[in-house]
Amino acid sequence: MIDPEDNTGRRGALPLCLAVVILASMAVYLVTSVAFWGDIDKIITYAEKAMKLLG
Amino acid sequence: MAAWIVFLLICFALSTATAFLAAEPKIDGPGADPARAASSPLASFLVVWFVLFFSFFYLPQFLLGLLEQATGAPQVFGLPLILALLVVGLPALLLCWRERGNLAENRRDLSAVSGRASLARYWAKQPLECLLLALVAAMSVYNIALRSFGLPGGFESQAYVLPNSLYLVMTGSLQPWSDGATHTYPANQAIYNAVFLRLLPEGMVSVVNPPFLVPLIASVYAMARALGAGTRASLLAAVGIVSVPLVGKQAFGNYTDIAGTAFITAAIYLVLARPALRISCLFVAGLSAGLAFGFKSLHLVSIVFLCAALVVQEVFWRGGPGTEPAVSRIPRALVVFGLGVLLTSGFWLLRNYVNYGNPVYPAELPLMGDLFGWRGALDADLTGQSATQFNWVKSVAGWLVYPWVEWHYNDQGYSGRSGLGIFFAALFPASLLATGVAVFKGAFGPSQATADGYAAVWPRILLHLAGAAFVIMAWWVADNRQPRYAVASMAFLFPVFAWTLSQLAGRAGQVVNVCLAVAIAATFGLYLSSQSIRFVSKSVLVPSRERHSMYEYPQAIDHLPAGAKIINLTNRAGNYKLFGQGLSNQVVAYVDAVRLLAPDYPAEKRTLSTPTELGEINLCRPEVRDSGATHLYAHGNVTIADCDEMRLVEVDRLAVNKVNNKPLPNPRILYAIDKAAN
Repeated sequence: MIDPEDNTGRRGALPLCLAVVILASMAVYLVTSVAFWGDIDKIITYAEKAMKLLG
Repeated sequence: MAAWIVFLLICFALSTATAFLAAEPKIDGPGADPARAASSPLASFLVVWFVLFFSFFYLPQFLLGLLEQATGAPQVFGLPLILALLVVGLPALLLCWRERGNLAENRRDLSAVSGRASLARYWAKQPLECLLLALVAAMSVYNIALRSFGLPGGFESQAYVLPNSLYLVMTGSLQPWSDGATHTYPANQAIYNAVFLRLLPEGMVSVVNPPFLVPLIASVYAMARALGAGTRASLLAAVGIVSVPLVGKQAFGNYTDIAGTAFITAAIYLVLARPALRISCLFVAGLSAGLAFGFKSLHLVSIVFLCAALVVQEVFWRGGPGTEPAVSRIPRALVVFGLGVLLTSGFWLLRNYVNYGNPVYPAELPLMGDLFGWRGALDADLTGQSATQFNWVKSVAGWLVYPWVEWHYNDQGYSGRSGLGIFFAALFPASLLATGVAVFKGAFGPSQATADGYAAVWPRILLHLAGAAFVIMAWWVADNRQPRYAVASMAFLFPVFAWTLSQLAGRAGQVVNVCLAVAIAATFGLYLSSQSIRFVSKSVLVPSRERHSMYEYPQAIDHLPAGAKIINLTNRAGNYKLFGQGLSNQVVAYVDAVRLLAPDYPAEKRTLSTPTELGEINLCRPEVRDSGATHLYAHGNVTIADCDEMRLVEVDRLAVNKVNNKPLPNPRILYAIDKAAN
């Protein structure tokens, strides 16, 4: 029986399998996402401009 | 102003008392229901409070709006509004008085759960997740502080939401400010913003969105707990939904979608989880769904699904020995839910039916249009809507790998609010896998599966996934595939993500939790950075903090005599700024300006037109004279034919970009319309 309070989860291969899928999916996103890195790129560009304007 | 403050205080008192009365029963101690061990009374209280507060807030205004519809006289002013609130709130007031004993007991129970010691224990059990929740609160305060120094922005706000708000403030009318398609949508957001415009300085109207994160987060958390997810996983998913850029950028930006998202999420929670409230859960769900429709009518899609979900619940899960047969339970459930929906959305349906012959105008429903003759707006050109998806993917097949492969950038035009983010990308495939296992073991497995808890949960998880699929497919079939239209699918999916996280165990589970927490925090960091940079560029690095300088229009617009009426011939986003410093000018909306000055231009292209495409623009028309316009605002690249009877006289122009002191390619010019010239 799962204990929803302490979040101990299940036994067997499923938890490990799910953890691998979650981390792999996250890693792929970080490698391929233009949006995520685009956000960071844009923020760096803005910040550089702002620093120049602020002298 | 005093009447408005009194109105808001009465709304607060009524909703607080009724929400205490409705609160979920005690979950521990003698007599507690062990089946409800995973209930979340504080979260459900917050959800119910928000729904009731906004119901008490809107219903009196709708009542006066109906009177206006019948008499033609605008009615929404301070004192009549308080009287209408007392009429609307009377049943709740009587109920609270009759049940005052229970009300006091419920309040004590809830205080025990939400007391300082109880919350401290809760924080100690899941410190990382609570820290993320605190980060959302801190970001909200930071967002409000920054925005209060600026002016309202955002395309939809400036094009039609705020002009509708100002029209309400100026006239007390709930009729649309203009008959252009976008102005005629249900206008809950405009009514909400109008309160801020009445009570606070103009800049503060930019800060209206973050409060709606409370019902959104509380609903996702409570739904996740009802699916059997642990507290840590539920908290992570509840905060995680804010890390979806589609949601988070709405909450912290100038957009107008977050309130609708919050209320439809609350409705989904109240229908799918059915918390054991002491008042009808389905009625409150209906109120919430109706409110969501009033903010964004696109949530009609989710309302249709919730009706189907009610039928499924009554047929398969809510029967049992001693209960009525499903055939009598189903109509009752639908009527109670539908009554709530109609109470909070009926005014908009009726207004648009009377004005335009179609209750969901300017939209057109499939089948209904042919069956009842309900036609969409003529000036809503939908022919190019299929192409909007290519802001996010490069081909239709690209959706199969979205969001892992996407090509838009932050704030790149229309797609700035989009994106599903890293939390969604991390959990979606794993949730499908976990659901597959649950269905396989729960439905077809040996009896041991029941002990694992799969048998009870897999149908509920499938219902959540069906809801998400229904919303996405509806917009897919409608050939309008902008992710923000299908945002309600996130509300269905995130509780399933929480349940998936609860399937993890041991060190692997801890690693995943920490990675997800870091991902959420990183996304929040992106929000904070872009907010700060925007603040610096829009509010600090400006040559002057005067309104005309920040909105970049000729200064004379701020000093026009009382009764001045400006025809806006620039673009739709220019509508709001022309109301001027004192928000006292009258404005002819851009789409109406096109209709007035270029009547031969095709109606279906008006909304997306630019002045240079209009062909011959002729001032000398009786309709222009009859419109009462005194001024015209246009860019310098537009040629307008005038005549002896009506001549344009330049009043002021903005010819230089004040930030870099370079000449503008097209100066912005304010003309007076000289009608006496001969």
